[in-house]
Amino acid sequence: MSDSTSPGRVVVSLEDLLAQADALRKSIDALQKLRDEVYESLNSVKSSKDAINLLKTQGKDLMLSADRRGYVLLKVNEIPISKVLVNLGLGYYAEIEPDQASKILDEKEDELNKSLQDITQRLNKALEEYTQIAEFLNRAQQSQRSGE
Amino acid sequence: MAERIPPELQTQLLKLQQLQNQLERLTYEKSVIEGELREVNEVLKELTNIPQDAPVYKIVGNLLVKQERTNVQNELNERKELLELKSRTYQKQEGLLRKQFEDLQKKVNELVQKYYPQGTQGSSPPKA
Repeated sequence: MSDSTSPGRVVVSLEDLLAQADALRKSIDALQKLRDEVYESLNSVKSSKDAINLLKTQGKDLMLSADRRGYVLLKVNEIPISKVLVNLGLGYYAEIEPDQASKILDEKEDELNKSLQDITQRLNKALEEYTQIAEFLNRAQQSQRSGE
Repeated sequence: MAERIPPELQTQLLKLQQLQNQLERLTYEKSVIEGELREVNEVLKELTNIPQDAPVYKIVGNLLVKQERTNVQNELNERKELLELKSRTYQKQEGLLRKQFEDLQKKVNELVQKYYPQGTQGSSPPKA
């Protein structure tokens, strides 16, 4: 909407800008959370692939952690590696050969990498817009101070 | 002193805000449905890729329960149909809401032009 006193100039209320900045902030937080979740999933997929490769090459004399922190370790002489259970999604698992499992995990990794790229692009765009609004608000605040 | 917005314009702006909120909620719900649908398709694709004799399990609480592959595929196909139906419904609703939103936006712009005419130097907008 143009200002009646000076045609051609666009008037934007500070309330609108603040509301926009708030909405962008929420969007940025949500995207960052999503990005962290995807990163976590990627790390899980990578460690699963590493475990399969390790078992294929050296399936003897392994130490397994009995808990998450590794307070208790169990010595395992040999793990049969003919079949593994792989997560297909939605709580479904299939018992398949390690090579097939690796293939499924590779596909999952590609999918997650694509998602990560998409999220990063959206996040950068939102951050750029947020920075622009923040700069504009700072300028408005400074000009208000100098006008007082 | 802050100017008061004419009641007619205020009412339409409120309606516009409500429509925008509805649209945002609908868009979010639609994206959730589409995410679920993607996941179902992914599992169905994986089921066709793995060997026919490979046992399939479903996680129930902390247990893995063996399932018949055909049952799993039927269950997932039913879920897929339901999600596709929901997705189509949401798409229709979104289209209707968007149309309403655009029409109301035009109306609001016309009211803004009416109450705050441009180019009339120094004329203050009417007080409600």
